[in-house]
Amino acid sequence: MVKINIIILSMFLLVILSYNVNSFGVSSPYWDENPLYVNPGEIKEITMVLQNMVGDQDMKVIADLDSGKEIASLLDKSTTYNVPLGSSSIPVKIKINVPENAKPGQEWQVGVSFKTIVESSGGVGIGGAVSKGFKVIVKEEPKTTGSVLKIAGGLEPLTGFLVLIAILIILVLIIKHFHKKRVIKE
Amino acid sequence: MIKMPKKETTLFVITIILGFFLLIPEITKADFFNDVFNKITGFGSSPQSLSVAVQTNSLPIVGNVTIYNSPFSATESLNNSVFFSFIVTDGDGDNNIVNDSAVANISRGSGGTAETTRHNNTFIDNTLGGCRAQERGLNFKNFTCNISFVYYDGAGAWNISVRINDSTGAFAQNTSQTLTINELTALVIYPGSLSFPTVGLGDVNVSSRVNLTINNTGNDDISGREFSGEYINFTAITLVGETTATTVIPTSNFSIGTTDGLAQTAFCDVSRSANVTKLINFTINGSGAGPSPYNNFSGMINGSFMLAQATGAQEILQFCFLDVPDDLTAQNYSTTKSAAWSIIIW
Repeated sequence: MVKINIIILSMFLLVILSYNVNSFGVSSPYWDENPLYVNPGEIKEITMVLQNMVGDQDMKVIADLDSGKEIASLLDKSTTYNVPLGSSSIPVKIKINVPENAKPGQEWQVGVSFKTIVESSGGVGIGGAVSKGFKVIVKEEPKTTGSVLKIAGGLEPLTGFLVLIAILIILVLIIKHFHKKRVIKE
Repeated sequence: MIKMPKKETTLFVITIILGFFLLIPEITKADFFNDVFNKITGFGSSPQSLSVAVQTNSLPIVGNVTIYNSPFSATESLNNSVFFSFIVTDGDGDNNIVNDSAVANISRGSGGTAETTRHNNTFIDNTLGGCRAQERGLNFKNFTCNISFVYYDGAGAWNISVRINDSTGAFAQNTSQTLTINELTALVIYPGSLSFPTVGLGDVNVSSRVNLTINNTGNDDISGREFSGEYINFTAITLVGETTATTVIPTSNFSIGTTDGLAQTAFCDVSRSANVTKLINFTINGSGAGPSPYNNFSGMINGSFMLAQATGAQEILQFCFLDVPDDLTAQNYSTTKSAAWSIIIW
């Protein structure tokens, strides 16, 4: 009876303990503080890189597009990536397709999550996930500063002024010259 | 009195008007009159310098720095290198350029937020080798240079500084270029699974056999700052009986505590909300906030942070089985029939 009670009152949680070390990393050329600037209609391919340098086993990672699906897509046929132990350059290609009618300053948040696949071995399996996000921002059109008359552009104020005075004097002299000629003729 | 013909008069008037419009923008410039006055009188607020130099030596000139393969990716928990080259010219001939003096460094930020400067400088460490002369011409040398950086060096633009001496000791420097190091978010988690000791019905505050250790092996700071949401995030799924799947343990029966300044058992004390997180989500319903009906948890771990740095880039999480439900049957409970718990870094 005592034995039965013990069985009923007891339960076991994960007596087998796994000491696996899970390791992986994602390197990205764009991040929160370093957005991707694009032009309307531009198509751009960017590459994030998966790494597994520190653990003790090969990893499988599932990539998923969390946000920005209206302009971004994962290019690889399979979005499950094998990341062997010791690898530091498994590429994940992402295509950014900016609409033709995108307005300057318009922005999208693109997020890609990478989640490790945990092999079921009993216990409370612990996996890792990294979510990389960045902004895609449409470039502002360059502002043109127009001036109606810019004859002496780029010169210092005094030099410009002297050039203008010289031009005026020449013009006055030309007029005087033609006027004199005409008077002499008459 | 000479009477000017009508045609010339019109031309003259147009010229005067044109001249007027040309002069207006120049005259109305703020410093115009000061400039004119200063030029005439010789007075002036801007320093006037007159130098007479007797040239005995042509200074070396460091030309444009060319960077290869930028941006550079950091490598998880390891060092990596940046590569660039630069051309040095010297009017006194290439022999006047001292190879061993070609050194470089990369730096980022200033003051308290500055990153450690990385260098390839034989004046600081003669084992580094300095920059190497790869080709030479009549009055130039082309140097290539690599500088090691470590995995936790911050992502973003780094300033490049290269300098060289000539044989007289005169030196030239170029600080015009930057290179970019990509952001690397990387973590190491161990062990790969958790276990609890055998428990009885109604037991409370049972600690997991081991703690979960997470190391930050990238250059992405998990600062623990509220406004940026830079915490360690966690998802937990209901544990399901391995023999009888109809019996489950909801995640709300567990808590996680960070080790920061807490006594060993404090992670079971859910009133310490700064450092302890009960694995329960609340939803807003008609009667106010209530427990999530899904018995799963997804959210940040209170008080968690892992800065990207040489030492202390680590968080240790302690798990507590708060309360063993009275309706459990005797069997193993695990994530085998549900889904693994996850550490998530944004």
